[in-house]
Amino acid sequence: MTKIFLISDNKTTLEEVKRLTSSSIYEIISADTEESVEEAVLNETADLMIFDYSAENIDIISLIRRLKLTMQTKDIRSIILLPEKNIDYDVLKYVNSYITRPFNEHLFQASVNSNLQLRDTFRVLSKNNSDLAKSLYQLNVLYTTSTHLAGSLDKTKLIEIMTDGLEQSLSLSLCYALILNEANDIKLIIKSIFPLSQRLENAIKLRALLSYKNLFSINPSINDIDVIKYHKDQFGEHDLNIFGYDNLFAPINIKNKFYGIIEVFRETDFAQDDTKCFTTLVKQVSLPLESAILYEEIKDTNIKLEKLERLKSEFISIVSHELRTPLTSINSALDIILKGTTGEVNDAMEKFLNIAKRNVTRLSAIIYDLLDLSKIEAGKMEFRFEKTNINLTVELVKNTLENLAKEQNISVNLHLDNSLDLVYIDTQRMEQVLTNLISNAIKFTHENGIIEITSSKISSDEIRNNNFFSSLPEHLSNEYVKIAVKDNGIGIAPENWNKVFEQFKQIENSLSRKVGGSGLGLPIAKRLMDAHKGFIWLESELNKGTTFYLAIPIMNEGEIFEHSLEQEIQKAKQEHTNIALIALRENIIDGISAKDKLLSENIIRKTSVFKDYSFEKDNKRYYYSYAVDMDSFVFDFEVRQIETYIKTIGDEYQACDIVYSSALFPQDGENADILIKKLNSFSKGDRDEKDINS
Amino acid sequence: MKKILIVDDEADIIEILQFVLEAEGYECITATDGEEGLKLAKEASPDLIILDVMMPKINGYKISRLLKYDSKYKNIPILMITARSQEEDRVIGEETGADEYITKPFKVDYVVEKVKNYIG
Repeated sequence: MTKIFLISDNKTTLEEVKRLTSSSIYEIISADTEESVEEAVLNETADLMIFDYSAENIDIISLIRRLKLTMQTKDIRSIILLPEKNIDYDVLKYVNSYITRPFNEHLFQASVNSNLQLRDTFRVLSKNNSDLAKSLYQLNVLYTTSTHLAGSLDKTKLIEIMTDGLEQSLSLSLCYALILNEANDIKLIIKSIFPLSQRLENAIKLRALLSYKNLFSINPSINDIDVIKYHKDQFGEHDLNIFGYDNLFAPINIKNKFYGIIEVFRETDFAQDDTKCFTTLVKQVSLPLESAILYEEIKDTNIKLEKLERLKSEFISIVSHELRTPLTSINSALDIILKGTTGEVNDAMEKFLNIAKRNVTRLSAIIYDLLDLSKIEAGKMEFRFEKTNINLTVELVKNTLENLAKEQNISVNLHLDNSLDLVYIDTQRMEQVLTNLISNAIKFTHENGIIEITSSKISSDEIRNNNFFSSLPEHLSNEYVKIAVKDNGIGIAPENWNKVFEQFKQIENSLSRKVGGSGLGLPIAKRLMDAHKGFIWLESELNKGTTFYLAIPIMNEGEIFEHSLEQEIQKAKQEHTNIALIALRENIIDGISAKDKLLSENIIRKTSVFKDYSFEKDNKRYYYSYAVDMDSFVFDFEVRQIETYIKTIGDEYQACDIVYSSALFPQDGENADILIKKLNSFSKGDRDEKDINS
Repeated sequence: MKKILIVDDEADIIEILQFVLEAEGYECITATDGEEGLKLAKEASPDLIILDVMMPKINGYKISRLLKYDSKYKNIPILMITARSQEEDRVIGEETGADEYITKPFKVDYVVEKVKNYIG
């Protein structure tokens, strides 16, 4: 029923108002003193207030002003009843409308009704407004929550983000989530305003377990539950009465699989919007949870795969090591007999002993190749790069294989370009590649064949335009040394050209058995050329012959530096050590004296193995010194080459701190001591921070 | 007669090396583990030592270091036999002082040639 407050100490006014409003059903609450007004205001909510200007014992104006400032009454519409004359019109500022005596019945009713209607409209408007504000707030929370959810792959954290979002958007008294990772990994996250009483905590555990018991695929015990509690206020306590509050609950499902439950409590009842917000938030968590679980699975699989890979290469290494000793014994024993030291060997004996010997040789070649391949694949092959004249390497290999060629009346001719630049190679490995190509050529060429070996300089265009490569690395050197090994043997069919470089895919098995070999020579050659940033390819025509080509980059100093650094990074990654790089600018302090300084100040470890490098760029010489097994990197930011590596190392090698800044390095006129100080503060500060975090 | 000490835990290898070296006119003494090898190296004053790397008790690298850093024995040539296993690779960078490395599988002729190079 509509309530009207009538504030007047005049009996006639009361009678009159009652009479004038009698056509509608209003409840008139009258008050005749200031105290009774305030009491009524506090206990009842009025729909309309009518003040009598003529009240004798009430200071109407100040009362109206006071009520306008009071929380409960400020929004209630007000009408003032005015006398015919002697009016302080100032009062009209504080009321919504007025009615002057003598009262006209219709006007009076119209005024009351219109004020009540206005009040209704306002009420609807302000409710809509606050609903909108609430929805906006909830949407906002939903949005931030979903952003947070997208940023995490930790299951427990995801649940916590969700409960945070629920708390914020629904102003909850208490919220708990039970999540089942595994049978012995059950987490109960409880967030509340006040701390929980012990019996409430136990009750929540039981409630969480029992209410959804039929959904659990496992049979968890209450003791397996790991409770994580958060509360906002210190003073106060939640107890069992919380179960009397309004509550919402939902299962948390991942891909239709039950993962956990969530239940929330609030002292005031949940509206329909709140329920919607709740279900949306709970649904929102299931997708990131799914990703988190997938991520964990992938991580596990990766670790397993890495382990398998390591086991595989260790296995190969052990096996080949174990095979070598018996092979040595067999081979030596055969040698001794064949030499005739133990007695005369007849032709038949010699023939079969030679068969045995040839196969022992073949077996040991396979073991070598297997070991090499497993080393390359595990990234454990070590290279010793140096600047070399490739022609010398070619000649050396040719001389070693001369006898093998002569046995089959094959001639090997060299056409070497004597003006070639030096190349940056591991000579021993390059010999291995060349030996492989030339001995292959000998094996697959008929008697009286000819093998031509050519060396020449080519530009990178010849590689770029080569159809043999389906993809090329981004960076190519400007020039390459090309080595061609051409035979007039049996040739290789086009469909097999790429296959010869794949592992264990020797084509035409019968032939390979005849000529021997592990079938791994070319795959190894390919990988060794990769390590040299070089290329290997072939051209061939069946029954006419095959030409194998090698291209070895002619690197400038900068490229050599990058290449050697890349090698170091690879090695450090393998051995799980850190790399430090100290790059120093030209003309300030050279790499060696700076290194000594750093050593004496204990910034770098004395046990570190240093490699000193320098290269020229824009007519300036830069000195570098870098070491493996370090905690931090120091870079000179100004040098382009280094900048690239900051990125590479930063992405791929996160285990170490990277300290880089050109500001760290002394400007002209400053000396090495300042550098030391700067480095010292930088690296120590960094380390301290790390300690705190760990 | 020149005396050669062969230290290897593989009896077959010892027998083969002993056979070819004796045929070349050398006297051979043998040991099948590192401890015994080190003892013989110090007591039997061999002219040359052939040393396997991977052996029980004391490995070849250690024996080599112990002898090469001792002024009494440092002039005895050491031929080290290695199978290039991963463990061996790990220590190969270390200074062992060995005069020659021979990789398994080796050829007996090659070993004989090396021995001749050092002690004629």
